[in-house]
Amino acid sequence: MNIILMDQRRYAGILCLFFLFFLVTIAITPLIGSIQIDLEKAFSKDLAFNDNVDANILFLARIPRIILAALTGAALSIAGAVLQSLLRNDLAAPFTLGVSSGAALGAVIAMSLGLPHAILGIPTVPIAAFLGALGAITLVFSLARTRTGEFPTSVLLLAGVTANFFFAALVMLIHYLSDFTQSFRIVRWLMGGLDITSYKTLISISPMIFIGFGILMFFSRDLNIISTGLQSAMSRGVEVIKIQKIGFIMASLLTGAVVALSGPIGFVGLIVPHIVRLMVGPDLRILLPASMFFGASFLILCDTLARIIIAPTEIPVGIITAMLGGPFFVWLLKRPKT
Amino acid sequence: MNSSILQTQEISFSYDQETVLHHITMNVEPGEFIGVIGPNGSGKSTLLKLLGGVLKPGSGQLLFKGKNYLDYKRKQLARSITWIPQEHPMVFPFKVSEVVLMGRHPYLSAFTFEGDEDIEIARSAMERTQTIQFSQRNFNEISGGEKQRVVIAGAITQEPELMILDEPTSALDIKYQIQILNILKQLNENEKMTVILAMHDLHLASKFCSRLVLLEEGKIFQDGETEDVLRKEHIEKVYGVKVHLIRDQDGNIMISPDTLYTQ
Repeated sequence: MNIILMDQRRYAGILCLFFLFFLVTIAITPLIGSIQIDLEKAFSKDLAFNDNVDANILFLARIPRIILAALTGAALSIAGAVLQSLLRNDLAAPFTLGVSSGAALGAVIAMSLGLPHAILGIPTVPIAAFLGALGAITLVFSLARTRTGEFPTSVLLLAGVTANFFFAALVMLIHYLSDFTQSFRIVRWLMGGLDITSYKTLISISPMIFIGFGILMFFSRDLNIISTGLQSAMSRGVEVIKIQKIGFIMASLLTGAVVALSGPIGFVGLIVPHIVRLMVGPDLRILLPASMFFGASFLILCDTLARIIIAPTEIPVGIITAMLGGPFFVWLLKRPKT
Repeated sequence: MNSSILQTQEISFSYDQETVLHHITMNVEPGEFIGVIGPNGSGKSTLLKLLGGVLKPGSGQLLFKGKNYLDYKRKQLARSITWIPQEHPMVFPFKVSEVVLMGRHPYLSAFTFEGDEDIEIARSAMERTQTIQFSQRNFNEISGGEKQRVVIAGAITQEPELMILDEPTSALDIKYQIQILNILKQLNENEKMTVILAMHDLHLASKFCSRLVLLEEGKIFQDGETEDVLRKEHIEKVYGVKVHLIRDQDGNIMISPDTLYTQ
């Protein structure tokens, strides 16, 4: 009898299914939208690209938007899964902890200062958002931690709410002081949208996401053990303080990179790890990559809905995720605990 | 050469302003089975956390095999010493087998999965602790006594030389208490595992431990053979109650309160 059914082959199989779901999503969703596009025309070589309406819609509007949705969904989901393990609380997520607001503050500061898009090849707004996210995590962590190193739900959520209000007030202040065009840009961005993207910006944030994911995978077993208690993790040989720092920095990096482009899109980092955990279990070695693919697909699908629900008007995807996430959060809070 | 597996030299520890342990000096020899006893708040848990390497002493030295704890890497220390807390809160729905396999962490490098050997070690630990029959169940859904056995299985999987347990039996009924203590006794006798555990039940302590350390307000009040520590005057002084000492049929000491009178 095989008592331990937890082997690599099973994980590889599960991961293939998630990858397949992701592939199907990115193959189908570019064809859905308020305007019906003709694929044959879009790929036809008879028309110049500038005159080819179908190609323009496909390659300049829909595909970059879908890639941004994929990166955003993946990054927020990974960050959510990691924060839940580090804080040993399954209500933790970039949005509920105020990490997204911190990232937003960083990004808004960088935007209003009119910094150049990149300094020495490093994109400035995502880095500012990363620093904002890291500041928020540090704040919430030190506010919510008890003497024994626990993070009670009530204290954690209150710290998150406090951070959210605090950063939102600072964002409003900057917003109030900025001129009309800047102000419009900030408002649109704060609603959480995926519609202002070039391939160049996508390429500039991708490394931050893949580095964050790779490093977290490297420490995934340590993070599993930390989620069972800090002191017992030490006794199992985990360098708890080091892993906490790395985990928080990587979660901030992931959140900052995508919030800088898409705005603080709420609840993805809360919903996705929960759904995926129900499907694959809590082991981060499978939960992280599965959440990456599922989170990418999830946000692409939400965004597709946002594009067509009151077509031809497109609504910001943040509205869709919040309408799904609000009730989900309440359900999590009220569900019976075993 | 000193043969001690563990030495503490004048270790003290404070939480914020409050000092909970004062100048603790003790030696532990390989293969000992030591009970740490004392009233609530006497510093038992803190002492065990220090010995287990999960807290750092505020002052004094803590040596494992003659070398300071701080000179070991965490994973190195985890291959020799394991510490088991009193409670096991688990947020996520890990299965029993997954919890046991976490004990292999100090032997694995990053990006690796547990191999056949690790699984074999975990299986054997689960057989010894009689946890194998529910290895696929969710850790959060099993009983307190079962959880304690699962966590001990995880600790055995770590293959330590020294096992430190913080009141492993205090939340359990008599059947599970005996079961846990028997598992530890077997590890101690068959595999020369050194065991240090905090206990509340003085009768069980006298039955299972060859040596007792009696703490009073963060200081060692008595440290020695069970017979010498469990004396009427010691118990009365430290716990502040009048007691009788009774012997059971095996000659183990039982403590019975004299009256409801307290000092």
